[in-house]
Amino acid sequence: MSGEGDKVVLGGVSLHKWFGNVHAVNNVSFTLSQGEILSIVGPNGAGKTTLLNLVSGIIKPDDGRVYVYGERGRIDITGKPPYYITFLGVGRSFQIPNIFDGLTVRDNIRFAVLAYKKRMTRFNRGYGFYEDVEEIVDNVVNIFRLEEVIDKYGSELSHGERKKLDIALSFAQSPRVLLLDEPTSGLTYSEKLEMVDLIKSLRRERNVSFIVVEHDLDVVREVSDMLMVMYDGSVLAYDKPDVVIQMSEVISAYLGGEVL
Amino acid sequence: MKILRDNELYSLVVLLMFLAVIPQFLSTYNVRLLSVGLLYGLAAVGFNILYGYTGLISFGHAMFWSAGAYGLAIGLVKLNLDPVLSILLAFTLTFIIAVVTGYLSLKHTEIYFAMLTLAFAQLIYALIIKLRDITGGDEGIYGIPRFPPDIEQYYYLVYMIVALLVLLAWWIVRTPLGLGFQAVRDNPYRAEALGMDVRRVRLISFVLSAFYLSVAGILYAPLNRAITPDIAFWTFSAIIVIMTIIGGSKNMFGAFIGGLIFIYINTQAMNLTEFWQLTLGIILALLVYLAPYGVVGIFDRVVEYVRGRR
Ligand SMILES: Nc1ncnc2c1ncn2[C@@H]1O[C@H](COP(=O)(O)OP(=O)(O)OP(=O)(O)O)[C@@H](O)[C@H]1O
Ligand SMILES: [Mg+2]
Repeated sequence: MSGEGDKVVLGGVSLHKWFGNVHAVNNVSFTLSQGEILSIVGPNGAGKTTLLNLVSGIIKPDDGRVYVYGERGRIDITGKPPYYITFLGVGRSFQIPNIFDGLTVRDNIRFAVLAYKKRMTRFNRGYGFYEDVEEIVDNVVNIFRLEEVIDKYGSELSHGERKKLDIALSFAQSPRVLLLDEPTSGLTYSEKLEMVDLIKSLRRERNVSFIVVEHDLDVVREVSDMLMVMYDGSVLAYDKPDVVIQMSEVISAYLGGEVL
Repeated sequence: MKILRDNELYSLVVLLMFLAVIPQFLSTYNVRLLSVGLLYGLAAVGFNILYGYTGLISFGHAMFWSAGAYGLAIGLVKLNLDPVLSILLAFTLTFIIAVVTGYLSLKHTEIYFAMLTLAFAQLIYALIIKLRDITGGDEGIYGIPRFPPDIEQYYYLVYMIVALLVLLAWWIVRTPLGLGFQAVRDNPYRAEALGMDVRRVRLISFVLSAFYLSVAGILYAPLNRAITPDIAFWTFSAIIVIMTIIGGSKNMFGAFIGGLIFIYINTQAMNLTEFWQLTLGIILALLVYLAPYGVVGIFDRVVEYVRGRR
């Protein structure tokens, strides 16, 4: 929808993943254009998180490929380690917020920036004394509205703040693509609105593309350019949201209301 | 834990100033004891780089203290090398052992890592016992020269090196490298997902920590004039863990205090009762139960309480 000329940034081709007998991801393909937001919905155990894990390198697919498209053309990232994929501009957040509990919010973000700038083994300066890093940290704090909790430790944050910080960590690394696993789960109504605004503004102002796994259909309607429905590892529908939502009513009737 | 974190450098400097003056008022026996206390403190600080800051518990750190002490003693006594070459020998030995055991142990974390370090340390212990010609076997090495020979002067040599290295540790954990240690401790998966080479950073922490233990061992051998294999036995590794926990592993000040306190608890308990190991065990159990953040944590709570009442 928004991507001018629809420049593709990320693609998955016929991905498969088995856990024992469970076919967690069954022949899933997708493409993501610059600035596009693709939402994935589906019941518990549908394979949504597993799909994000395949893309971000946390687990390796049994079959299929994942590609990142950059200035230097297509890069095959199938089975590459997470840090490699991170450096190619694909960041992610986690269903259960994944932050550093023993560090302050500021230090959490500093870490993300320093890791991205590959300065992690330096010890000539205090970690709070790199001006270019501090500039990015302030910027991220501002965008994610974390000013009030900036000096709190990760362990002292509320669930909503943890969710925001988790995404902020990935965003601090200037990603072109963000994979968000249920960014609004467990959030209050106003926090949800804030999260929706945040996703939309990152897309609008930074041209970030998203894959968003989401249960809340209001959020999905609000942000998505494309919508994928997964069930039992397979793709049931993959189209524009209004098309899918009409279809999905048919599908849920067919599956006894189980899908959404 | 706020007071602790904000005032760590201040606390360290005050304590170090105190330690600079106090020998003037102590007997030679006690100056000697305090020298060992400083080295225990240094060992705890070094251990805490790995334990408190990187989140890895090693049950084999005695091997690095021993690598330092034996390296120096073998150089000075057995090979008749000059001090500089002997120190170099000690460091080389430490470095090789640390890189090899670290690389192999760090294929695992948590208890498996701890068990592997323990196994490697016992291997080193066995080697020390077996290689009698080089290490003196279970009799150890005697007649290690001390420079300067005077105990009080030697105390100040130890003091200067320990002060420098403790302040250096305080500094390191505040650099990007130290931030990396802490991130690995809190959440290695996230650190990796954010682009950090977790195993490399763990190995750096391990080797750095070994270096601290080695320096403590290098300074210990001449202080004691003799070394025996019990500095390589697993019980000494346990002591290194225990004193760090007693002091408080949340920061370097806690660990340092832990080393200093331990030497006194240990000597007192040994003097007072033949059941000193039991006594020590009970003290430790009580501490861990009542004060999970160590002695420094208690101090912190008292200060917070007093402030709160005003
Ligand atoms: N590491 C794993 N080992 C074994 N089985 C797994 C593993 N991860 C996921 N599974 C299984 O794969 C299937 C898909 O799980 P996945 O977590 O991807 O679902 P999901 O769509 O994210 O569900 P939810 O909405 O509950 O988060 C489930 O049957 C799950 O039990
Ligand atoms: Mg999931």
